[in-house]
Amino acid sequence: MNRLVITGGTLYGCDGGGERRGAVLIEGGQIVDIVAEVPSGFREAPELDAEGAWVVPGFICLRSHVGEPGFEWREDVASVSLAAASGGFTTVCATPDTDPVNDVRAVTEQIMTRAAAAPGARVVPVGAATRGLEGKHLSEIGDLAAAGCVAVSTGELAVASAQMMRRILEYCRSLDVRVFACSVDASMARGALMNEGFQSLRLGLPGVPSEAEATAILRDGWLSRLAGWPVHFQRVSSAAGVRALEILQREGIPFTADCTPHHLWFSDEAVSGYDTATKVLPPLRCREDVSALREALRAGLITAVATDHAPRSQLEKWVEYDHASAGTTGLETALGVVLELVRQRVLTLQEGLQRLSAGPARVLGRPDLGRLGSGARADVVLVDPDVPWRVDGAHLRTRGQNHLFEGQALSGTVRNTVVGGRVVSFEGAEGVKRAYR
Amino acid sequence: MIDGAVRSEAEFPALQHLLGLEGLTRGEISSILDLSTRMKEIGERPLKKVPSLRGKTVCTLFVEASTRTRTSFEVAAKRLSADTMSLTASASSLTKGETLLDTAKNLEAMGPDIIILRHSAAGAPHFLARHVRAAVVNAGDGRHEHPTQGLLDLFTIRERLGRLEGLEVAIVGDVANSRVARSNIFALRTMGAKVRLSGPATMMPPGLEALGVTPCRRIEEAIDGADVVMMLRIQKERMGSDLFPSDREYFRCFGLTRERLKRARPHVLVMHPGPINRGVEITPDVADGPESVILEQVTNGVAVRMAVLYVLAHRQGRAS
Repeated sequence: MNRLVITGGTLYGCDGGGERRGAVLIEGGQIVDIVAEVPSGFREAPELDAEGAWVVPGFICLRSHVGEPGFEWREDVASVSLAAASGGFTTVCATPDTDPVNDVRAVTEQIMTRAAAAPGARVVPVGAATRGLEGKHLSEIGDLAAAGCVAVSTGELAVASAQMMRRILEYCRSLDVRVFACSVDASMARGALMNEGFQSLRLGLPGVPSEAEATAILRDGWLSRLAGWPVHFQRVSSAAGVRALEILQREGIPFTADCTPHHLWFSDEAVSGYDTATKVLPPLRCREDVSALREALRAGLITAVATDHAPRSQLEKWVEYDHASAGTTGLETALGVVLELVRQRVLTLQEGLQRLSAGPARVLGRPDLGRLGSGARADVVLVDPDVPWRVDGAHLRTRGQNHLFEGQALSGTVRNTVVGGRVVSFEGAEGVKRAYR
Repeated sequence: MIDGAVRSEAEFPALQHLLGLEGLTRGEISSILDLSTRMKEIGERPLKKVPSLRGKTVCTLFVEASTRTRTSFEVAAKRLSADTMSLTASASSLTKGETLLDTAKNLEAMGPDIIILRHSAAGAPHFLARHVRAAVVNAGDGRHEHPTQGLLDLFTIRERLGRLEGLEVAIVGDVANSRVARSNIFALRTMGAKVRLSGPATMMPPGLEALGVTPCRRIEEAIDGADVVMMLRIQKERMGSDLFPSDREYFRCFGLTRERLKRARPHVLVMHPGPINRGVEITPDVADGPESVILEQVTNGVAVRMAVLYVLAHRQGRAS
C-alpha cells in the first residue's frame, strides 16, 4: 500500500482542536492515525520531514475560475492544480463560467477527465444551475451532480427572476445538491466598474452600491426559507452584506457564506490611479466594509475564505479601466493574507486555518476533508510560518498575469503539499505555466 | 517673449502631465491662470503667433467625438508655433481593433512632446501617462475630469469678478455624470470658492458633501445669492436611463430662467461648457443675456490651453 509518514512538525486542525506534536501516518490516500511514535509497520515508509513546520489540513477553495474549457490562455486544469498546491490548496472548486458553460454532463466529464490527470490539487467542478448561466431555464442538475459536480452556481450575479431562484432552490433540495450564489442585484451592478461611494465620485467611474448586495442576500435568504434549502453566499464584500447575513441568522434561516482574501485586505482607495489590477467583482469596498468582513469572518458568520481566483492575461488588463476584465489571481496569496490577519490579531491561528479548511469542508458537506485525523483524506500541507516573501508574479505558478497582491510583503510559505497521500512535485511546472504563451 | 510669465520653473514642480485638477495646489492653479492672461493678449494681436513652442510636436488623440475642444487645443498649439498632428477615433486604427496602448506606442515612436487625449473611459489619460514619455493632457476622460475646461471656467470668473476666494458658485444639472462639474468642484474648492450643487437626485450621487460642496434640493436654493451660475449640459443620450422623465419636465424643475436668475447677485455670471440645449437647461434669453459669458469661455479656452501647453512643453524641455 502507498504509505507516507509526516514527522517532526507542529500539528493543527486535529480532531479535538488545539495544537499537538506527532507523526501523521498515511496509507492508501487516507490518514490512518496520528501517533507520538512511528510504529514498526511504518518504519520503511517514505518520510516527509516537517521539522520546524506546521502540519495542517489541506486548504479548500470554494471558488476558482479554472479557465478550461474555453479560456486556456488564462489558466487550465493542470496549471490551476499546480498553482493551488503551491498555495497550500488541495481541493479547488471550479466555477461553471467556462466556454461552453458547464451546464451539461459532457463539459463536467471533460473537466473530470482533465482533473484526474492533474498534477497538484484536486479540481472539482461546480455546475451551472441554469442553462448558459442565463437564469432562464434549469440545467440538468441531477445529471451534473451524477457526473461529479459538487454544487451548482447561479452565476456571477443574482438570478434576475426571483421565481427562477426559488425553483433552483426547490429543485436542488429534491436532489440534495448545494447551491452557490453571488447575490448581487444584477440591475444595479450592470455597467458598474467599482464600488459606489466617495472614491467613485472622485474618479468618475460608475459604481455599484453595497445595497445591491444586501438586498439580493435578503431576497435570496427569504427564498431559501420558502424553498426549504440553504444558500451558500459567495464573495460577500460589504458591511451591508454582512448586516443582511446577520438578519438571516436572527430569522433562523440556515446559510453559509464565504469572502475573498482581497476584500479582507484592500479598500476602494486602491483604485486611485486607475490600476486595472484593482478591478474585481464585486468591487473593492470601503475601509469600513473591510473591517466588517474581518469581524464577520472572525465571528464565523462568514464560514470560509474562498479566493475567487480569476487569472487573466496581460492583454485583458493592459487597457482602459472600462475595458479591463475584472478579477485577480488568489490561490498563491491566500495563506499569506490569512496569516497576516492572524498576526494582526483579527483571527486566532486556529480560526484562520479553519476558514481555509474545515470551514469550506463543512460547506461542501465533506467530513473527510479539512481535518487531520484517522479516516480523513490525506490532504496535508506543511507550512513554514515565518518565512517572509514578496509577491512577484514571475515566480507564481498560475498562468494568470493579474496579481492584485503584486509587490505585497507576506510571510508564511508552503514547504510541501500532500494530496491524497501523494507529495505534489513541481517538476515541469514552468512548462505548464508557459504552455499557452 | 512670454518666458517672463513663468516666474520660475519651481512653480510647477509636480506638473509632468495634466490629468486632472484634483491635487493641484492653489499656487499651481494661480500660476496657470496668470500665464493664461498673457496668452490671451497674444490672441488679441493682429499677428496671433509666438515662437515659444517652435520645434515641439503636439498630438491630439480624440477617441471620443468632440469638435470644439480639439479645435481649441489645435488653435492654442498653432499660436505657440508647435507642429500639430491630429488623430480621431474614426480615422485611427482604434476602430480597427488596435488597443489604446498600441496606438500610443506608435504615436510615441513619432516623438511628440505632448499628447492631448479625449477618451470615453475615465482614467484613460492616466493609463497613457504610465506608458509614454510625452506629457499627457487630459481633454476629457469619461465622467472623471476635464481639467482645461475647469481652468478656463476659473479664468473667466477671475477675469470678470477679480477673485475666486469666497465666491458662491452654483453648479446645476447632471453632476453625477459630468467631468466638467468634477474639475470645477476640485479647482474651485482649492481656490477657496464655495460650491453649491443642484439637480435631480438621480443625478446627484450620495456623499457629495465629502467633496466640500453643499447639495441643494431645489435649484432656487442653489442660485440664491450666487455670484456664478454654471449650468451643465443635459446629455440627451442619458434620456433613456430613467434619470428624468422628459426634457419638458427637466426644464420646468431645473431649467435656468430669467425669473430664477433674479435670485442671484446683480453681477452674476451665467456659464455653460457647451454645447447648449436651448430650452432644456437654459432659456435662450438667459443664454444670450448680459449675464452670459458663454462665448467668452470659448475665447478663454484657447488662452488657457496655450498656458497649459506652454507649461508642459517647458517642463519637458527641462527634463530631456
